[in-house]
Amino acid sequence: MASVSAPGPVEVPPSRAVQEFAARHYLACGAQQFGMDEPALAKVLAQVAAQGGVCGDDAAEQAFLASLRLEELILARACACGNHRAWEIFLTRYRSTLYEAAYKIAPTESTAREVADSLYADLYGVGAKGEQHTSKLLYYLGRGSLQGWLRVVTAQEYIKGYRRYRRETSLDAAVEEGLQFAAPEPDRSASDPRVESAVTAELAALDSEERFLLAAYYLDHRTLAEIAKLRGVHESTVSRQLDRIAAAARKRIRKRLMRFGMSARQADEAMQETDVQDLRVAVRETLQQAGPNSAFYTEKGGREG
Amino acid sequence: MKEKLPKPMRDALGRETAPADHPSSDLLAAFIEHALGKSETRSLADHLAGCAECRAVVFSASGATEEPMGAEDLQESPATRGWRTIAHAATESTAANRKPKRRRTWRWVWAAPAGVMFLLVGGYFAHRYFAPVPLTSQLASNATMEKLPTPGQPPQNVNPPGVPPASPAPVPTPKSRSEAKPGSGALAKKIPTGSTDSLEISSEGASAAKTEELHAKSEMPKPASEPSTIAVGEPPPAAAPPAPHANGFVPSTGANVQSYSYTSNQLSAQRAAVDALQPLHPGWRVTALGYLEHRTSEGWTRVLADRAAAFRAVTVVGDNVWAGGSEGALFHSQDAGLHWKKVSLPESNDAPPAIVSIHFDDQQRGVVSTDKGSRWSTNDGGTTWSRQ
Repeated sequence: MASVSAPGPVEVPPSRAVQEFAARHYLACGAQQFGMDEPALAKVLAQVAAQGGVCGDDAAEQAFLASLRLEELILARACACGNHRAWEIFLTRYRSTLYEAAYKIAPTESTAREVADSLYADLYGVGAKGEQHTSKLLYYLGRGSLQGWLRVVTAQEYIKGYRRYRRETSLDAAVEEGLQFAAPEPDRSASDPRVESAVTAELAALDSEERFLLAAYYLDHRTLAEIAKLRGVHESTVSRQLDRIAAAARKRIRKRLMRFGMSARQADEAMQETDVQDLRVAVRETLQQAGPNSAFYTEKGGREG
Repeated sequence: MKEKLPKPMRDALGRETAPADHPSSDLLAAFIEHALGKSETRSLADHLAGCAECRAVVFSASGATEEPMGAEDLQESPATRGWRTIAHAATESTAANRKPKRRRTWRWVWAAPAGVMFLLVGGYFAHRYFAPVPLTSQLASNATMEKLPTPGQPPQNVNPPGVPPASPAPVPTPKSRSEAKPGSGALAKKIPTGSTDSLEISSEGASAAKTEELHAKSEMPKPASEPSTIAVGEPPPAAAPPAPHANGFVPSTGANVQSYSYTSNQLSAQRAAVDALQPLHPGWRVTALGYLEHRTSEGWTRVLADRAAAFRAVTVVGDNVWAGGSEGALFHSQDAGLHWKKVSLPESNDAPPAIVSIHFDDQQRGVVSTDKGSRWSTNDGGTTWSRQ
């Protein structure tokens, strides 16, 4: 991952709305048990509001702060500050979440344990060589649950480790493992500028949600169940939406192509799923010598030769 | 999935790139939990559409959750409304100039007749199974329990083989359920009435009854080693029932519940008798030993345990509970069983008949039948009775 846009804590003087909010929620959020006083809470909230981009507008600030998971945010900040009581609570509540998420995301148990241990060290603010770092918990802003955030950072940690492993593995080792490198596919859709124009225009007309759905299903080959779980809808809903988007896109691209001067048949051919040039012939399998039993014609009755 | 995305479009989608600045893990977590607003969700989805890495993170983290968020929960959250609104708006935007908008109200037109049908069917079954029909008493008279022990007396479960019952059972009424079934009627004819084989059925005895019925239907002789008395389940306790509480409620031991003793000429009624074990009125029942029981939070509890009567019938109309049994015992409670009043029928016989059926149309009008065939009706909630 190139960069993470979540900035570190920035010193922002708390506004009046933030101070009022902090005063109202100081006792309820549990900051007191971690030795955090009301001004410190207001300072934390001001930082979070600034990172959320709602500084200046009192009403927006209040609404933004009200949407935060305040208790978990304070716990994370207290952990990042090294509060022992906070770490006790964190370990009691979230350690199992961390390791369970790692076990579900990573393919093997050893990898999962490695990912979870590495992340745990990051959360604690200790580097691989024992040096002190800023705790990763400072990046938790309370927009979602702390549990969900831990799952996300676990997934990021795993993907980061996977990419590091792929980068550090030599080509010879990869080939020995059975990895095959496919030749880059020529981009044939760009061969006809009319097709490219129609597709680009249609893609631009799609909503971001629709493009996300299409990318998840057609590019990442995510299952309907995975998409449905992420979106919180039923699989059939996702299926219907994909069907609708694909059918509408096909129809409109066809119309555009015909407007560009193509005949209906040409437009259909341009959108065909399989192009002749895309056909790959498995030469080795085709030329391979057949086995002795099947080398001769076999009648239906079972008589051979 | 029927439709496939046109290949040029898929290629173009793959060529899309996202800005180098990835969203923070905090935003991604909030996106997964649908905790973002509309604009933030839209901008994040825009990034995700072009960033395979962030998509991988989001799907990995979403897959690591224990369970998917319920649709009901999601419908309640404003963030989900944002998701749905955006998705709906997107769908509408693409479909706006393609199809005329279909009236969504027609989609649920079927719900109204379906609901009416459901209510009709439910009402029919409720009327059939929960109406105060004196089924217990009918079955009791049909099944002709050999010797219904009184509550204070341990029941005699095992009849010695070859010995007929001491008191012959009363003649079944012509419209009894057992005779209404053609199969069971034929079965009863095939079995000699003088047979003394008896069968005890406990609460688990339904399958044994069916087996016996199959034996009889196939007209196969029973094995010689088979005892003439078949005991299924635990025998009822020989000890006297526990002492009643102050209000006459005694906790039921459970072991003596649903233990019947039948002669073989009533085998056709076994199935019906097992059905009769089910309480006709929720919360009230008469056990096979003649105990009147009421369901409380502690389970089934004996009521009127201090009475020597063996109850045969119970019916409930609102808070009014009527229970009747041997020796003309008829009790009435107007407060759902808290207090009871003994009601006397104006029949002056030496041996008062047993009340086998109680049927009340409402709280005032009801009919009581005895095992001698007499019927008494009241129109004032049991204050006065007239013979029919």
